[in-house]
Amino acid sequence: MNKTVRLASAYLEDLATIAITTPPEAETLSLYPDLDVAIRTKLRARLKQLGRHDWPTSMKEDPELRQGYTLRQCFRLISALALVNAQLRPGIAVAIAASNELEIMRVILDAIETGKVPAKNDRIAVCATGDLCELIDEHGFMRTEPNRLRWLQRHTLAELWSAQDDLAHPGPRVVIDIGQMGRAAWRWISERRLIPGDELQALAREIEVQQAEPGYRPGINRTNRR
Amino acid sequence: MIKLWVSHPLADLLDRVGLLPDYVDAQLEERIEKRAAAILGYGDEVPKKIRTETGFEVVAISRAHGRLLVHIEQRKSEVLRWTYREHSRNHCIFECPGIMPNTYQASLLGKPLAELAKPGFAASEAIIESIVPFADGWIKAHVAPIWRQFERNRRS
Repeated sequence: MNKTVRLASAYLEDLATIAITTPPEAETLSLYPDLDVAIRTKLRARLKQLGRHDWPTSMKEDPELRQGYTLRQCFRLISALALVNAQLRPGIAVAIAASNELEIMRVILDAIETGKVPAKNDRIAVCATGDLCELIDEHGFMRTEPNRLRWLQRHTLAELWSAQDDLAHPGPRVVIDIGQMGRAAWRWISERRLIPGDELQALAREIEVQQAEPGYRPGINRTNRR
Repeated sequence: MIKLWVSHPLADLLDRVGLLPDYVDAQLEERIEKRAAAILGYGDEVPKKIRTETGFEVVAISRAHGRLLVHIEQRKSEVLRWTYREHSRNHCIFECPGIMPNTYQASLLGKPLAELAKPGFAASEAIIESIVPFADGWIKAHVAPIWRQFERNRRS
């Protein structure tokens, strides 16, 4: 049995850059992003910020973190970064990424498997935010489950406020293409062969085992450390 | 005098472009003075020079515990052909695609890397310590290159 190959933390900023800046239909990736020191420092500060929320994981949960990040942890990180990039604050971003982790993994794995072009059946995350609703109407806020990601297919994006999947209530929507971000990240990792393809297969099996689990599991994996 | 190490493979590449390990070390020191990470990345002078003059696609040169470490990702028409990464003194990895029977694998241990693949520079002389095949058709070989010591000259 091979030991899990991990991505060294020195690559995290590059990974974040690739995931955030690569457009979904990009033919080629910039394999070696040229970041200047100041940008690297800022990015690293944001990663550290997520780290304070024990995301993607902590030394306590995974003592081998010192040796690098597993593929699953990379995808966890990307999902939180996608939400931070949508200008949600890290606390909320991590809460959403954590409680929807399983579904996010499924969507990313689907996107990688489907291959090149973003397909119209791609599932896209829709997040119904409502920070102020909590003050006004706590009961209604809880009912609308702001931490739950709804999944629309690319060609049904027009139905953002439709009754489908309880998106009927008014309010802002954040739409995030996490699947394609994950695909770009994996393309970058595999083209440089920083993590071998075996790890992707292993992750797919890991998620397959949890097939029966619901994609949204509120409050799971949360710690109080900040 | 501070003693530092450079592996034979990297020393070979530096030789070919007429640079001394000491010069690379000075470049890294300069980085540290500027409070940047001690790594010469893809766009920096030395890796660029090695890439253009020798054709070996050096993507990074870093330094850890007094050792200069090189990362190479060799491509041919944009497809990755092999990688050679030095992570630390006893953790140097050569990867290439290929399928081999287990019996042959065992016979390669303790032999130079040239028996498995011919990257075309001094890494061929590194001794194979273990071989791990992957299900996706690649082979990972832990190799032990020879390390050469050099001294950092006093700079003003």
